[in-house]
Amino acid sequence: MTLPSGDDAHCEDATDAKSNGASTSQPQSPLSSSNHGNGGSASSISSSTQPMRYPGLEQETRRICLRESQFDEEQVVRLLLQELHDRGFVDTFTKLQEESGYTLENEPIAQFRASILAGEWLKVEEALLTIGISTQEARNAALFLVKRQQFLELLEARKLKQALLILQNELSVLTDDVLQLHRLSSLLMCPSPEALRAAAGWDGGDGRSRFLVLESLQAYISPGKMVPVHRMETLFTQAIAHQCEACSYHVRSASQSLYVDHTCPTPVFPQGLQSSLRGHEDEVWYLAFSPDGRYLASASRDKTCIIWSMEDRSIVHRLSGHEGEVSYLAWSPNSKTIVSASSDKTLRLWDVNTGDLLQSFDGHDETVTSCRWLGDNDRFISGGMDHKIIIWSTNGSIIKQISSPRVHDLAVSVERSLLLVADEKTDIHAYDLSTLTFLYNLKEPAEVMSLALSADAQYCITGLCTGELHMWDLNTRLRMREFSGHTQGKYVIRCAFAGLDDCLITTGSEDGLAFVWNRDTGKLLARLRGHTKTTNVCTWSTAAGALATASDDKTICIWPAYHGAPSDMSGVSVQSPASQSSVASDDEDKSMASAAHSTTLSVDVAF
Amino acid sequence: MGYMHQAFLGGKGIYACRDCHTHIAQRSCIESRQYTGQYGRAILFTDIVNVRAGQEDKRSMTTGVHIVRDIYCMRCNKYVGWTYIKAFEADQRFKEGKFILEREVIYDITRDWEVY
Repeated sequence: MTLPSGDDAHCEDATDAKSNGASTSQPQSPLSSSNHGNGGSASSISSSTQPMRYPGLEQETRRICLRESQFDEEQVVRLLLQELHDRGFVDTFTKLQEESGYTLENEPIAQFRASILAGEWLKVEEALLTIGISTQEARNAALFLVKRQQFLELLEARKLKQALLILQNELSVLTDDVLQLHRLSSLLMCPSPEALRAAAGWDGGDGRSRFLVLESLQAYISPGKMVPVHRMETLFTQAIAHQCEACSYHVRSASQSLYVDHTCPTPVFPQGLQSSLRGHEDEVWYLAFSPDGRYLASASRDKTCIIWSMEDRSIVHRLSGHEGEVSYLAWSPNSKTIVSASSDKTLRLWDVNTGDLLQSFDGHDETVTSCRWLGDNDRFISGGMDHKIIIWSTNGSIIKQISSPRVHDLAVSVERSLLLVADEKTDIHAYDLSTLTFLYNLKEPAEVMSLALSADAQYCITGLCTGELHMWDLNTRLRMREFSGHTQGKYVIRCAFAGLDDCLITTGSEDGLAFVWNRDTGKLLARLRGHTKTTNVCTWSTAAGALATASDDKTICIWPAYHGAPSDMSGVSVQSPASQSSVASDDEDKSMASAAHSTTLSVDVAF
Repeated sequence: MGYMHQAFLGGKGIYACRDCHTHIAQRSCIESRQYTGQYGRAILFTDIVNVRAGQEDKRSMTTGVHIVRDIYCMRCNKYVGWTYIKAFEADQRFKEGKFILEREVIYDITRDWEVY
């Protein structure tokens, strides 16, 4: 395979232009001696993206190109040149320039770059006129950037008079942006170079600022003349991002290998029901994995919490002491303590190693509905039905308290200093976490049953009593996507983000299933059948590599991501987890209902 | 059942479950106090919250045959009254979709004294 004649001609031209350099380098090339005789067979090991040239003959610069590429050869070679240059392969860089006939940059551009980096501003100014910036406006804007850098460097060197001259005579002519000029002139007042750098957000003439100017100037120069910085790296990053996006079950970190496409073996999640945990005597209402993934904690209507070991799925501790149902749990960031919230109006802090009660927190006047830690292991926040949000210290004292709407659920992002509160009606209220000041509202069409915030605090999902799940983009405060299919009414079902980078969305359902969707495509990926009654909560842990669901049938199901037997995706039917006790409670329900029916006929008298 | 999403009522005259104090009805939704239930006096409401309905049942009452469902407090599951699904007498149709609460099992949490 050879290139079309047009390209050949082009190459010959190029080598002719610098045939001296090319011919001197030829004898040193190891490829010329070994590969010339047997054609392309041995060269198949060489990089396939790089068109090879075998400069064996003096005049005939014929190349054996192993494949035809849809991309322009000049562009590919110049990207390679840039990458080689960035990585410091100077010899190969010069050699490739000689061999291919392409240069990374032509002489004026190279000169231009060098003079910017050296701070030779007069040369830069001259070069700007010759490097082919098409319009006068663009040239002015580029010149402004250069002059601004010059101005700042003069200020840094305390050459105030010259700086002032530049500001008055040149910068003011080049722009109409009065604000920008005012800001620049205010820098004249800076008492020291350090203050100047801080005020201008600029890292000094010796820092990266000249590179940054160069990068900004790129916008005005044709990319064909000056290749945008780190172009190949950018393309690789984009390719990997695209591969991850196409992967529906993306639950493991993207392999950074450039040799193969990224794929998660389908379906990596979920692999089926691994175990069903029994231990609670009533409905299980909440689940939380410890941050280190070693434990799972469950909260139940039977007024206890259980800490399960994720290694052997055994009960580590049973935490009893609450006088009401336990409806919320939060692990401390170091996985050593856990806080439980209950309808007995208290929160309790437990030691995970010993199972002892460390502290009880008394301050709410109604059911405490939710709690979250605040990044360290000393403070957490709780909300209740009594219109209170309280920040607690683990020693039992109240650090801060505000009155708020009735808190039904709350979510926290410490990094973004954001607190989201779902009230008992249809609104989500956003607060600044550090000051507890109100920021904004998100309005839903129906009552919000649960709330979850992604780890990067960009997205939040809300589960509504109408059986819909809404995803909001918190940057734009717009509703982005709806998920539906599950059934939900007046009982709380907690939705959650799952998967790596929160790429999946899960929720339970009143029919006992758990639903898993892809966050970005909205595609339903799985319906998990492990419970016989309402699935109340779904929770994911990347550290444990599993999804856990809990249900009114008193059991907890673990759905691991990476191991376990493969199974069909329509949902895994397991043997009914309904134990003796749950059957008994069914009978109880019936007897209660029949008792109510059979007692006496309700009498209805209208006058 | 699951974890209940509890609704709260505002304003004056809130009737709550006598056992677990869950808000159930508002005085502004009272249509008539002239009813009698199995525990005595009962009130007809147009709208109530935090209740769960049981099975449909056909009952003959003093005003004729009705299809009703008993209603229970959503939190403690206590019987609190019934709701009319269908009335067979034309002049009783107005009760369809409304709720009877037994006065005995609810109380007005905004008062510290009670009148029956």
